[in-house]
Amino acid sequence: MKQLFIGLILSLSGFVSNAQDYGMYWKYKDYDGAIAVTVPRAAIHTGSWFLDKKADRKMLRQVRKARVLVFEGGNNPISEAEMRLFYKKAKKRNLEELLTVRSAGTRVWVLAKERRNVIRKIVVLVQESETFALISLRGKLRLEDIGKLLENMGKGDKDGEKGKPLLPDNMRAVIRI
Amino acid sequence: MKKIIFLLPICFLLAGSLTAQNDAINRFFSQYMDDERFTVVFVSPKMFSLVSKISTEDPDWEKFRDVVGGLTGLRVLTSDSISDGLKFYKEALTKVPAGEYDELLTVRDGKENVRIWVKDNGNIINELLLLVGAPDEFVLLSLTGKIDLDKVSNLSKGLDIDGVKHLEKVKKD
Repeated sequence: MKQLFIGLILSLSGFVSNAQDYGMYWKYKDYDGAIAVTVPRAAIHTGSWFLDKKADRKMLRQVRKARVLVFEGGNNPISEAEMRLFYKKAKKRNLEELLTVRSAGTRVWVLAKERRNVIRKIVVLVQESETFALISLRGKLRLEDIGKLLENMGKGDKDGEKGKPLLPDNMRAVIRI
Repeated sequence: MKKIIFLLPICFLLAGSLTAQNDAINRFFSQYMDDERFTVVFVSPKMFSLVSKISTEDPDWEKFRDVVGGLTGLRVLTSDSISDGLKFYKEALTKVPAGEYDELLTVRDGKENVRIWVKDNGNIINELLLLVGAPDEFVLLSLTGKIDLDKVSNLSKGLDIDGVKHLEKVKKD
């Protein structure tokens, strides 16, 4: 009975891990030339200690898991069909497209899952003929905290370093008029 | 019952004609979507909705939110290094359903042509279409949502996307 219970938990945790990037990471992580990294929550939390601003630390701590899969130098095994399949699976699981850019041979997709003003997942895909990158972040990024982060970007820090304005100068000038 | 049977095909036909009006532009976008001479940018309604939900104490940001709050999508097809921009301009011009859009602006400056159309529903502009053609430049931009022309011209300063700078021209005097 105990074994059955443990087996069930292990298989379910496998589904959860796969769900983050709809199997693409797990399928290709052991391929030749793959750079595959999973950053667990503890490592992200530790990394946040080195950030100066509280808002930055808070934001980083809301990321529960990060995954990166990169193929470089002509080792890209991910076909168009695979991308379409990924897209189909992603849409089925409520991952919505935010932005798509294609310039020359480079394509960039940004997808996210948001519910009740909380971003649960962000996936960035970059594809070129010989290069592929998948970055997937899972967590609870509150829009309210993103707002605070943006605000802090505009404030500068304690050392008197001037912060960057949230909007470009030319746009600020026009909006003020 | 007979009425329903009679009305159903009419409804289908009407729905079909409404979607067909936009199809020509969509097909044009799709046709050149994978053409490496062009840069394609698509900002989804979800992106606009997310940005409009992020609030800060910065007054400029709040105004920016106000601008994007009503928008539901942006598509840009642009190229600034082609040799036959005018050919694409003419091709796109034939695809714009003239009866569906009101022409807002036409500029011809030397060999550069700029045209802006809007689709409105009473006082609200629902779609803005911008077409630019020059020998070495082509831009087709479609912006959807509740559009305030004054506010949209501000967007041109904030978005660093090729072709969007032409939106400045829609600013009311």
